[in-house]
Amino acid sequence: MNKAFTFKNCGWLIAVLLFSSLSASFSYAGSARSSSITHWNGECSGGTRTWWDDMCMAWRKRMGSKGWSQWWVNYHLVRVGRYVDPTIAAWGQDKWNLDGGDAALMCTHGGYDENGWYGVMHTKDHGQCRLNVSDMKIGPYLGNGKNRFWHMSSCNSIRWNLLGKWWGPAAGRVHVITGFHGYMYIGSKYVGEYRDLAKYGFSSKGVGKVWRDKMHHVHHWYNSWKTVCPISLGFGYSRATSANALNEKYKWAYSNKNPNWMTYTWKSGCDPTGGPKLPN
Amino acid sequence: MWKYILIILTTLVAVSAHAENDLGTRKEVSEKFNREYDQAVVEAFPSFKSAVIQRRLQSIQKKYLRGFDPLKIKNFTTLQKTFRFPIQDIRPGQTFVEKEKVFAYELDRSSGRLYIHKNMEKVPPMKKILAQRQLKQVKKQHDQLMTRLGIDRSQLLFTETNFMLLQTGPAPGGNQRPSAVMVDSFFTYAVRAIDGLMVDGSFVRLNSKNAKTLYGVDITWPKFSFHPALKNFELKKNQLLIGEISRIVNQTMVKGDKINVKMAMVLRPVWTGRTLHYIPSMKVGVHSGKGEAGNMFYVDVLKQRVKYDVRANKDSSEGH
Repeated sequence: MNKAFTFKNCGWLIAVLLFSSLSASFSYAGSARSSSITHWNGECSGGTRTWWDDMCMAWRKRMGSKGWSQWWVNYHLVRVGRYVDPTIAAWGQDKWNLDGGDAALMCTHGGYDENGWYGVMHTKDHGQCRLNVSDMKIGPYLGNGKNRFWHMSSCNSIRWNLLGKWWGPAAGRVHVITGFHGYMYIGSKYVGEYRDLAKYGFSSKGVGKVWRDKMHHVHHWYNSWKTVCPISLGFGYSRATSANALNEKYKWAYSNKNPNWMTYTWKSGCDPTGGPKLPN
Repeated sequence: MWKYILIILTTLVAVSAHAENDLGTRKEVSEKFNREYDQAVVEAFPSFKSAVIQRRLQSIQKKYLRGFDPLKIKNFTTLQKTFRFPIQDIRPGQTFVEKEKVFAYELDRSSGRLYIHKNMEKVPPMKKILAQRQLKQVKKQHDQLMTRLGIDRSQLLFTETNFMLLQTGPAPGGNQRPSAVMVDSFFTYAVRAIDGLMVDGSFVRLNSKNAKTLYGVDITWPKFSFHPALKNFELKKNQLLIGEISRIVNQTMVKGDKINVKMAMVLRPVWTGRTLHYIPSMKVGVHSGKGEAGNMFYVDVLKQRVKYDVRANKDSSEGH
């Protein structure tokens, strides 16, 4: 990722100023959708996390309080077919599920392999307990969805060295994808952060930047400490539009763009459990 | 019970050589994984002496009999003046004020929340080399702001000033190269302590675009006071606490996975109706080696049980 510097500082300034004059956004009430699992008592395995539905729900309900419609499927209904794009597998029904909303939050255990992140489902569907990045295409392209913001409350959902795997889902024209490098935790103390994501990202601060700032925190244990490392990805047809995608608010929708560029943002040197330290 | 006692005695021998903070899991254990869950809990259990902690808690209670509320922003007028927002009347009960795309601020005295955000999207990111030169100055400004807001160094357990970075790269297949890593913003993050005890859930986040432009304040710093029903702060026996923690670990982790356990004695915020108080509690973090999300939970450490709200809500399976 860290290749030679080719884009001058003044280039950023010109690009940002130029883009700010072009970045028409429009306001409307959208749909907030979520899926969460707390007990893996189906065919797929996972440790119990009783507060995960509270975290997901806090975000969704706050979006609801802003006038957005709410839609959710949880627990035993979290099966891979709901999140797979039909252009990838004919049985995929993502546009009738989370991809059918303007913003979505998925709360489930995650892991990674050479193909990138996978989310652990509750119950096996089409022989799969895992939703793989390669099964996903998020956003309105070809009428198979409408999602602009895809959030994952899931470990290693955007692992640094596998960050490029999100180009596949981004082909669907999603604007912003957010997740974590390394592990994150589930518990009562995090519920407010998800509520704040909706509150602060709704109309005053970019959702991608709220995610990066709010979800980062230090877990301190007196004799040691580790950091939770959120990462946000913004997509656009140019360098400037991809950077500006991170400023998009839920309420003020930017137009859909070809994902030619991706801007990723993170906390310098973030050092999580379950992943290497991020670049300084 | 005897199983826990035996493990505790074995662990105490190993612990005695270390001079670390006795409120948290030893550093040596903090990276360790174990398939024996009971053993993992015992090893992660801090080495504090109950009687010492009891005296320490009593001393804090005595010191802050009327509570400790250092945050100086106590009304919207002060907030507006301090951060140069237009002066306007805020209706009673309102906590969040927003001018869409321009600014937002929030003040909620009951939860100790102070938030401001000013839209600085048009300020471009900065080259790292330039940002490095400003880092010391920004840190100083953030320290000064915290002091002005009523948060001095004695209340901090941890603080860090650093960068939020961004980089832009092309889609695969093109011949263009990624941009250099740029500094999107500076931030300071701090964790609170009262007389050396971590105040869980209390933090400071300050954001600046550069040494001239502060654009974000996100603080949760509630008034500290112990739960009014708390009397003598007598702690549960260690083996009882270990048993309670072990039960939760065994119930929530997948059998056979290697797990890591960490603990810290904290002051935990709890709500009774619309009032926030604190109780001493053991914060426990457990995660498995195979990559599942960790589980963070509390086990209250005092013999005396006090009433507080448990705000868990189960969602329904589906809805729209």
